Parts: sequence; C-alpha cells; structure tokens
Amino acid sequence: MMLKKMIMALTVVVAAALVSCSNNHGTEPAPFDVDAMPIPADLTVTPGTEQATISWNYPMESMGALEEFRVYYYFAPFDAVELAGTTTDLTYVDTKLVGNVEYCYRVSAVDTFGMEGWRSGEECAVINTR
Amino acid sequence: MRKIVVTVLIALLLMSSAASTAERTEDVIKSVVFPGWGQFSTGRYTRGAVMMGTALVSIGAISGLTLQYNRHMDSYEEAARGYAQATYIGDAVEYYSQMTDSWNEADDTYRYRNIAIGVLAGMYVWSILDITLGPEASVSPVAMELRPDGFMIVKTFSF
Repeated sequence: MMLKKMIMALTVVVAAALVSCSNNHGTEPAPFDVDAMPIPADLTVTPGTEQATISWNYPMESMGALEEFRVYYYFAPFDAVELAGTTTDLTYVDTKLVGNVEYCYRVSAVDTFGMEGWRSGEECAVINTR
Repeated sequence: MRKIVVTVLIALLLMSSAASTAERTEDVIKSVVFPGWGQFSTGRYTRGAVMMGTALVSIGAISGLTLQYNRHMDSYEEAARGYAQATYIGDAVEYYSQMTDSWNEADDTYRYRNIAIGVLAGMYVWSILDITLGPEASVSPVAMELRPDGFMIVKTFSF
C-alpha cells in the first residue's frame, strides 16, 4: 500500500515536471543591433539680428556614412523638440527669429539608412533685436 | 510528450481491464473525465474533493495565465513592429526595452501556465492511478439497512 502511494506521488511529480520543463514559446528577441551615428559635439549658438548661427564638430571618419544633420529647437519645459532644418554642413543659420527671445537648439546626425543618432545636448542664446 | 501520454493511457486501460470489474472501469472513466469524480463514486470524498478542487484551480490558473500570456505577446509584437520601423535611435532603444520586458513577462507567464498544466496532468494521473490501483469501493456511500421495525438510510463517509 505504501509502495502504491509512493508510485502515485512520484508519477504526479514526474508528470508536472515533464510539462513544466517544456518551456519553448519561441525564439528570444535578437540582440539590439542598431548602430547609431556619433553625437555632434561642441555645439555653439551665435546670436545675430533675428537669426542664429548654430555650429558643431563632427568626426571626419563618420562623415562618409552621413546623410544629413538635423537641427532642432528644444523646449526645455516640455523636454520636446521641433525640427528647425537640415544640413550637410557643420553650420546652420536659422533665420526669421524673434528678438529678445531665448532659443535653444539640439543637433543629431542621420546615416544613409535613415537612422537618426542621439541628439546633442542643448545650447541656448538670446536673439538680438533690430 | 504525446507518446508518453498515449503509453500511460494504454497502460491504464490494460490495468483497468485487469481489474475486470465493470464498476471499476466506470470509476476509471469518471476519473478520466475529471479528476476526483471516480473517488467520489467510491465514497472517498475528501480525496475526491482535493483532486477536484486542485484540478479546478489549475484550470482557472491555466485560463487566466493564457489570457495574460496572449496580452504580453501582443505587447511584444507591437513593440517589435515599432523597433523595426524606428528611425531614431532613442525610439529604437525604447521599443527594444519594451520588447524585452514584454518577452520576459510572457516567458514567466508561459512557465507558470506550464506548471499549472503539469499540476492538472498530475491530478489526472493521480486520480486514475488511485482508482486503478486502489481498493475497490467496499462501502456504498448511501445504503438501506433493514431493521425489525422498518428500515434506516445509512450514509457512510470513507476517507
């Protein structure tokens, strides 16, 4: 009688183990494989009369894979960005700005596959009036 | 896995036929239909209740965990689509993080569901083996006892 109970208990455990070990609901996600372009460095904003000149540095060895730079307005209170324009140079002139207003900018690089890299830190300047 | 289940079922059928009583076969069939039912028929109510209760809880857990698993997988697929279509590295990182989180949650849910399935399968096996190998019902749960002044309904509990 004892042996029968042991057989039963063992069977229950084996059955539970057999089912619970078959844990294969699909293949795991592939490792993260997106190569980002380097972040534009040394961003400077030079205020002009109702305009601003934004310039930055970028490694020469990464310029071959570059499609364009994207220059963004950055709104700190909302941590939001809005595209100001694009360029393939290391300088961008933003015109038709309002004087006595502080404008903040961030810049990113886009590769030839259309993948945009991390945006730079913001740089701000108060625009001159006429 | 299927081979194991088929082998166990054939073995049980052979064992039940070896028992060679129609009542036992009926009890085995009841246990095959739902764990614990056969035990109820043989008057072993406590054991039957434990088996049935555990089986019902397992079925509930399997249903709930299956729904949860499907939800996690839907979330994973949505994040995977976002990741594949991302054009900004920040979005790609965010979607990938959502993907791996959803995947891990789905993985855990799947494992718990398998354990619940294992417990249910175990209850079936225990119930059927218990009926097949255990003693036959020797006492009818409800019986009529004749007395000089009439008769009396006797209810017997057996554990």
